Amino acid sequence: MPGSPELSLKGVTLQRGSFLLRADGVFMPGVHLLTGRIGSGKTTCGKVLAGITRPDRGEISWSGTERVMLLQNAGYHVTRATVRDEAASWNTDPDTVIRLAGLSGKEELDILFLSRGELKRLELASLLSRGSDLVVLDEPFNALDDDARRWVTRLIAEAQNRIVIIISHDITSLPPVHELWETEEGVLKKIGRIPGDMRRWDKSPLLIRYLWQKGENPAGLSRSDLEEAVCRIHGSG
Amino acid sequence: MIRITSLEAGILDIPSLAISPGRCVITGPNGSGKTTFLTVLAGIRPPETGAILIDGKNPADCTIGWVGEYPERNILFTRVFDEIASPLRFSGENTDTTRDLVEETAASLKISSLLLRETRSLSGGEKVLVSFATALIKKPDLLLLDETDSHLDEEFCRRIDGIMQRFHVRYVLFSSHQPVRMATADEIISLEKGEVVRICGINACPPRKEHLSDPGFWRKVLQSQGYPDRRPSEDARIT
Repeated sequence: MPGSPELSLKGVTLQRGSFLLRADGVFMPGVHLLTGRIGSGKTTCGKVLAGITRPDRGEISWSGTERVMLLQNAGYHVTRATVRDEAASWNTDPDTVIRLAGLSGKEELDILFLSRGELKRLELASLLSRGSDLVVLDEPFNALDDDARRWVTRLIAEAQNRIVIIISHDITSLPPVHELWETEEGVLKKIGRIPGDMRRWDKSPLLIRYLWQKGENPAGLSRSDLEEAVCRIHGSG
Repeated sequence: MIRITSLEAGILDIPSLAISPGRCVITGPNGSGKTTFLTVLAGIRPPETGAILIDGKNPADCTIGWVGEYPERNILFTRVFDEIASPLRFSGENTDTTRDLVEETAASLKISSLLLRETRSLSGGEKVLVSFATALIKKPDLLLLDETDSHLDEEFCRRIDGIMQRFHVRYVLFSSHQPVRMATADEIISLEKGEVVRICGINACPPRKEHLSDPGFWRKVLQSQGYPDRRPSEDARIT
């Protein structure tokens, strides 16, 4: 497939104090979920994947256009004083992005007057509108309410032929996920494809353990796949 | 009881509300006033009108602990010991008592080994624990958590819940969008556009369209996975 982006890491290491990140793997277009305990290196790994942090050793080869990352705290993205200027700073059409973020009418507002959820929507809409070939989203759902979670899930699912890496411990708002990755004590591991390799997920979250215990295998990790699996146990809500 | 009457503050408009001791979660869409509500309860922001009485006292006369969504943004001091000691030092406590309480609090949170570390060298999880120690050291009547758990994993949340139980905080109020976290509360307050649209016990929530949005469903999940009922029996209490 010509023009298809691909990121590969070989023998990548990064030392930060007593923490050592080790990463190998190949990321192809699709949605990747990166999970792991707090402090296991998810964010550090995400920064290496996005090209923000250079590793100490190893090879990273990237074929594609730009790589971008949404930081956990959307406040760290702010570089301009108003909503319109902030949207424009991403080199996208500010009116389209502001409408997409549901912030029409707030164009001239001081950026610091937005609620955390509104700011997160603005930065997400800006970032996802750039058409970058690789997007790392660090905890994209936190600070978002139910409606906004559905909105961002739809936005992510709509993007074709790009590599989307979602870092999250909350699996209840995901779009369809193609591959599952985990960091454990600094080591990046690929668990496998979803749904085929889901059973290899040793440290699966609460909800997955519950479903397995009840004899249910979800068809995937999207919100609707999980809700359907729950409905098979408890009936439709 | 926390009693709120004729409260107006920014978007908030709460004619009357009573909150029982225990764990209470504040939920609602973005911009519905959750953070404003917590800052008013903390006494950080005085309301334009109305009154809040916490067991008959004004918030300003109560001991209040606060942990935000990104605790590292509130850390003031270079060394962990000084950070945890800061609420006592700000209120003029003597050095011996301060040292004893810092050591006792750190031991209770199992972070004694961090006391001489620089705060900026801590991992994200360690910073959260230091922020909880700082919020708990004065044995608050009321502990307020503003989406503190939004990026913490299940096991870590469980550890934090255990810590709050051991400190016997009379009122814990936290804001959250996650039904699994709401399932750990006794009461759920739902805000919309600054108004309380509902306050209900965890087992009395109206049904939701989806199981995954229903705190009652998540309580079943938590119980089935061996999560203890959060109220410890008297003899199980530590410290």
